[in-house]
Amino acid sequence: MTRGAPFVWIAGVPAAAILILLLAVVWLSLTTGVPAIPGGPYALTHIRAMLTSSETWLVLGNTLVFATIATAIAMLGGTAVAWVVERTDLPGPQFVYAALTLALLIPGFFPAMGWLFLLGPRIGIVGRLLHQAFGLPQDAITIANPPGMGFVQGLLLVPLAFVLIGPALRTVSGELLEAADVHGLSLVQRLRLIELPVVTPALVAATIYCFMIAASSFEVPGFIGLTYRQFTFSTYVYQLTNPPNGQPQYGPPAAIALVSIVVAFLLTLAYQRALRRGAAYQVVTGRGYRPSPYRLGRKRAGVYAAIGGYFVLIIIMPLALVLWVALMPYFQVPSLAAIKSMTLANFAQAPWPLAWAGASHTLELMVCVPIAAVALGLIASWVVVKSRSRFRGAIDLLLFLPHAVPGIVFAMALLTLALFVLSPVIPLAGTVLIIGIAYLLIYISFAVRSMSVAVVQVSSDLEEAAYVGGLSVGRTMTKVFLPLVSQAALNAWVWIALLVGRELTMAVVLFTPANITLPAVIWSTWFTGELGQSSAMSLVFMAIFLPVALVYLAQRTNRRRPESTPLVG
Amino acid sequence: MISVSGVEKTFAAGGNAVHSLRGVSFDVVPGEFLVAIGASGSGKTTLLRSVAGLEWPDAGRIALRGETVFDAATGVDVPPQRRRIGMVFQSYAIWPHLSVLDNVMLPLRNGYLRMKLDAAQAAAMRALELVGIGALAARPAPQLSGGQQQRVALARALAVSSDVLLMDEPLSNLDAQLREDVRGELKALSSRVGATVLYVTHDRAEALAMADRVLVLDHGSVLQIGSPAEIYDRPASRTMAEFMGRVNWIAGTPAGDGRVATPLGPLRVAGDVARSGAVTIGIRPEGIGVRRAAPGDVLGANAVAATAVSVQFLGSHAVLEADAAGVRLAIETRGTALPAPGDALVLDLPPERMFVFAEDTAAAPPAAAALPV
Repeated sequence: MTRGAPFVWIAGVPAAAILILLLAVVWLSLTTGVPAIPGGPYALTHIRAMLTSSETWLVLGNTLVFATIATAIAMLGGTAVAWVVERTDLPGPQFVYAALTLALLIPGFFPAMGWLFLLGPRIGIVGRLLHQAFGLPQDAITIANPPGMGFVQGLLLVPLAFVLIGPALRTVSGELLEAADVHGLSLVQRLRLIELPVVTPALVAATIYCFMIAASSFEVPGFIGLTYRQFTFSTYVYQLTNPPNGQPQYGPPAAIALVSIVVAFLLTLAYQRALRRGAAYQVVTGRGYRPSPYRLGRKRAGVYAAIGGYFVLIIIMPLALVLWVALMPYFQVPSLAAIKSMTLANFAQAPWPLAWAGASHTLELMVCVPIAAVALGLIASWVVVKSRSRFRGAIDLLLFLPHAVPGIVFAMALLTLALFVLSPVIPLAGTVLIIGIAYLLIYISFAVRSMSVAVVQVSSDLEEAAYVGGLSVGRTMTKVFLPLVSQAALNAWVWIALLVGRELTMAVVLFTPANITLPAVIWSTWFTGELGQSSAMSLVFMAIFLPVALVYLAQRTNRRRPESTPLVG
Repeated sequence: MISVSGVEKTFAAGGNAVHSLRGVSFDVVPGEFLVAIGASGSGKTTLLRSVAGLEWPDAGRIALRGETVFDAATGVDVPPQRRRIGMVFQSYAIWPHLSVLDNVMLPLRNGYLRMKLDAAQAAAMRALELVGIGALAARPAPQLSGGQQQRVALARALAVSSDVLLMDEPLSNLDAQLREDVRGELKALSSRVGATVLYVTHDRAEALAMADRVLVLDHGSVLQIGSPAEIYDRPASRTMAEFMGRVNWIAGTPAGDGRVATPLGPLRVAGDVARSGAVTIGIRPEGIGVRRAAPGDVLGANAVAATAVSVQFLGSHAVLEADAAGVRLAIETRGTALPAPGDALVLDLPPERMFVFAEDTAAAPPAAAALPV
C-alpha cells in the first residue's frame, strides 16, 4: 500500500538536495585542477594533504577543545537551571523559561563582540586596565583562543541545553523520586543514585546535540578568532574559501569537510542510540504529577543571583560594551575623558544604504524560508512518523544531518554547484534565492523536529476514521491533519523566522553586495575594521530583533508550558 | 501505629483555594489493614502523601509508631527519608536503570538502614522470595510485566519497613483478573508479616475485600469509618449508602408502631423511627427477595406486588427492574428461572436489610441521622 506516495516524493526533494550537497563535497575534495575552478583531473591529493598537514590537525584539535569546553559549560549551566526550575519551589519558573527561550535567540555575534571588547588581545578593556595598573602584558588574559571562544560559545548554548534537558527532567515520573525519598535516600543520594542515572540517556543525547552545534558554530570563532588566526573548523573552511587575498580554494576545504561529515554521521548515530535508550526507560506511569518540590529557603537568593549573573555575562555586559564602543569615536578604555568624547558619529556614518538593502533581503528570507520549511517539514514529518514508505528512514536521516554537518559545508557546496555546475542553467550565485535555498535546507531539519512532536500526537485513529469516512488522503490532510497541527506549525514558522533573521554562517559564504543580509552587513563592516560602526548597526539590529522575539514569547507563555522544543543552530 | 488528627490541607487551584482535606482524624492500630476509599478528588491520595511526608498539611498532627512526625502547631516535620515507611506507588516507581535486586537493595544500602552489601543482598532476596519473584532478581527493570513490577515495588517496601506500609492504588494498573488474584495475596502477605497498612483505592470491591476497616473520604471529609460489613450494611448517611453501591430509595412517613407509610403500602422497619417528618427507606438490590406471583397469593407483611419491567442476565446473577405501585426498584437475584418483562412478581423487603434516614428538608448534605435499623 502506498498511501500518500506524493508526500514521500515531496519530502524526498529536500532530502535529495542535502544528499547532492554532501556528494558535491566529495566531488570537490577530489578535484585537483586550477585551484579556484573545481574540475579534473581527479585524485586523492587534497585528502592526502589534509591528513598529513599539521595545520589540519591543529584546526581539528582547536575545534575539539572549543566544542568540548562549550558543551561542558552549556550542559552544566543548562542542567543546573533545568533542575532548579523543575524540582524546586523557585517562584516564577515561567519567567526563567521565558528568559532562557529569549536567550536562545541571541545572535552569536553580539556576545562575541562584547567579549572581544572585554578580553580581546590588544583591544580588550580588562587587558588594557591591567596593563595600565600593574604593567602586565596586554595579552595576559585573552579569550581569542579555543578555550576562551569555547567559554563564550558555552554561554550561548546554555539555553539550548536547558530546553533539551528541562522536558527530560519533567517526564521523569515523580513517583520514582518519591520512592527514593520515602525509602530513606537523602537528596544527594537521590540525585546520584536515581535521578542522574534515569536521565543519563537524555543527558547523553543533549550532550551530543550541543557538541554538534558547538563544533559547527561559526559566529563566535568568526568574530573573536578569525582576526587572530585562531581557527576552528568552520572559520578555517571560511578562510580557505574566502581568503583575504588570493584565489579561493575548494579542494582543501572540501577535504577537511569530509572529516566533519564522517564525524557528523557518527554523532548522529550515537545521538539516535541515546534517544532509543531513553525511550527504553519509559516505564508504567501513574498520575503525572510533579514530585513535591525541594524547598530552597534561603538558597533562593543565591539561585536568583546565579541566573541573573548568567544574563549579565550573556547579554548585559555585551550590550554595555557594544554600546560603549558604538558611542566612541575610536576604541578606548572607559574613563572620564572617554565619556566626554562620546559621539553618535558611528551611527551617522554606518553604511545605512547597504544595511537597508540587507534588511530588505533579510525580511524577504524571514517571510519565505519559514513558509517553505514548515510546509516541507510538515510533509516530511508525516512521511517519517506516519507513512510506511521504505524511504522514511533515509529521509529521516538526511533531514537530520543539517543539525550535525556544519552549515558552512552546505553553503560552500551550494556555492560551488551554483557557480560551476548550475550557472549555465539557472544563475543562482549572488541571488537572494541561493541564500534562501541554503537556509531552507538547514531549517527544514528544525521544522521536522518540532513538527514531529505534534504529528506523533495525532492519533492514527483520527486519520483512519477520515479514510473510512471516505476522505481522500489529500482531504484528510487538509480537513483533519492540518487543523490538528496548525498551532505547532505556526509556532515553528515564527521560530524559524526568528532564526533566519539572525542567521549569519551561511550568508558569509554566499553573500555578494547584491544579496547581502543584515547580519552579513554587520559582519563585513566589522572586517573592514569599523568596529564602532559595526557595533552601532548591531545595536540597531538587536533593538528591532529582540522586541519581535519578545512579542512571540509573550503569546507563547500564555500557554503554560511549551509543548514542542524549539531548537537552534 | 499511624495516627492522624485534625489534618487540613488546602490547595490553590487557579486562584481558588480548594479544600483537599478537612479535619481528617483516624488511627490505624498495629497490624491493621485500613483502606481509605474515595472518588478522585476526595483527598485520599493527599492524605496518604501527607502520612509519607511528601505533602505538607496546613494543620493537624500525624504520628507514626507513637512518635510525632508532623505537627503544624509546633512545626515538627520529619522528612520522608526519616519516617521509616515502606510505600507502594500507583506506578510502582521501579527505578528503570536498575535490576530487580538492585531496586530492592538500593534503599537498604543507602537509606537509614545503611546495610552492608551482604546483609542488604540477603534482606532483598528474602523480600523477593516473600513476594514470589526471587527468580527474577537479576532481571533489568524495564523487562518486567506490570504484575512483576508491582511485586518488586511490594518487596522493596517490605524490605525497608515491614511495620508501616503505605499503598497508593497499587492494583489499579493491573488487569482485572490479576487484580483479584493479587488482592488476596497482598492481604495475606501483610498480615503474615504483621504490617500496619494504610491503603488507598477508589475501587469499592477492593476496599471491602481487603480492609479490616474502611475509611470513606468525600471532598476531604471522613464520611464513615468502620468494618466493611458496617460500611456496606449500616451506612451512616445517604451519600455513604450510595457510595458503597446501588440503593433503592423509598420515600415515606412514620406511621407509628415501627411502621412507615410508603407508596408501596405500610412497611415495617426495625428499630425506632422518628415520630415526625418524612423519612427515606433504603434497600440494596440484593436485599430484596423476589418470586413470581401465584394466583391466590396472600401478601404478608413487607411483601408487595410488582411487575417486572426489564431483566438483565449477568451470569453470576441477574438484575431485574420492577415497578411496584409506581416505584421503580432494582432487584438482584440468583434464581435460575428468571421472570420475563410483564410478569407479576411478589417482592419481599425484610426489615433487617433496610436503612432508614430522616429526610433532611434542606437539600444540602444528607444529615447523618444514622438510624441503622
